[in-house]
Amino acid sequence: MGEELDAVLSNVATGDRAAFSKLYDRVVPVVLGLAVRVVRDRTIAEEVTQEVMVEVWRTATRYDPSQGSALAWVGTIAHRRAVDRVRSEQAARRRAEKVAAEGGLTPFDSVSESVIEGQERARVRAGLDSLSRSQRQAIELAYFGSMTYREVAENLGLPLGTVKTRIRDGLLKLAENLGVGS
Amino acid sequence: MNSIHELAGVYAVDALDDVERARFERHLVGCSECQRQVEMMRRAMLDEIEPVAPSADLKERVMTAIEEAPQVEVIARPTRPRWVPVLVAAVVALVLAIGGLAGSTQRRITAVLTAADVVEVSLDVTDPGRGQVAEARLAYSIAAEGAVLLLTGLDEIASDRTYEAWVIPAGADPIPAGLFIAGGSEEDQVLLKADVEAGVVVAITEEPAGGVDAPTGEILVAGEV
Repeated sequence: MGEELDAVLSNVATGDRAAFSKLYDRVVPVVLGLAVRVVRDRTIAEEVTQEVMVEVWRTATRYDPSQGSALAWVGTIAHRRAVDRVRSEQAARRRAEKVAAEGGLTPFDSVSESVIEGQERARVRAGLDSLSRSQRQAIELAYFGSMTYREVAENLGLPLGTVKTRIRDGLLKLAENLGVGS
Repeated sequence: MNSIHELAGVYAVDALDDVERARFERHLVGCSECQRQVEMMRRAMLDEIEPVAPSADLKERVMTAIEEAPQVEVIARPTRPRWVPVLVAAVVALVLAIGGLAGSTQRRITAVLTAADVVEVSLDVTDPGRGQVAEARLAYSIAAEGAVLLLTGLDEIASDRTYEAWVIPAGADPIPAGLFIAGGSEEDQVLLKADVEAGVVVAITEEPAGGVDAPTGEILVAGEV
């Protein structure tokens, strides 16, 4: 399945619109799910998703299957776009207001649930739950909270090296638990 | 322990600033273990995402938008660099006036290293038998109009000496491309103050403090772009 998607993306690189349509159907639910988690606003998340898919189309020519899977490639573009959006000043201010209103940074689930309606609530993250609380916290602040690891360190009052190690060890354990290997 | 490999995790979750990210990406090009880990970590995080069904009209908007968005052409990677022995005539010493540019130099280095079109090539390193060599790479960007030499492991230099970078066009004399002192950091970044184009040789020599306008020292590092 993964390899098939890699082939679809390689076809997109040749300007194949039918392949792009197929790729869209396969990856957009994940791209949008990611964007919703990061930007925490359905409308903005759809804008980000559109930007992501246009960038995927434009730069598919740079995709090299030997360097990684198509899903991870698209996911990287999606995460960066979403994080860039949040890091832009305006979004940061809105987010700060929300965070302040909720009285803290930790309750991501409640933030998501209050902002995102219905079926878009975060599911129970079985994978992340398998990590230590400190690993999970550092990863969530970085990945879903759009923080640089310096900001994570500041936020948690920890040395940079500790944050770096927690994120790395946590991600490796997560990959191992999920059997995401290569 | 402050190995660059340890940045794999924070890179995978996009938690590095632009300069650190550019630096890790240069490492990533040559490190298959980090490539493997980053891929695994990214896929593991994507597995944590609950898919969300898009609005019915999003696909149409995207399909319309790509009609206006031409696909980028991939710039052919440079052919594998090979070491080119360079014979250098010893000539007159003349002081190069470089200085007072630290701020703008650093900005230009950052601009090159973070440019979307940055291309990086390895430069083969000669060993003059003194152990005084470095791992050298050259990053250049057409958009940022610059080239940066990246050196790892270059020895600290005596206070009355300087490293000097050269750009040597085919069949022409070496052009002085900047003076620098190895910072003792993990990586020295040197903005080349001469035009770099395909076919030129980039080289480094050790020279008297103040620099010279033609190389007198032994070539420590040289590679063809």
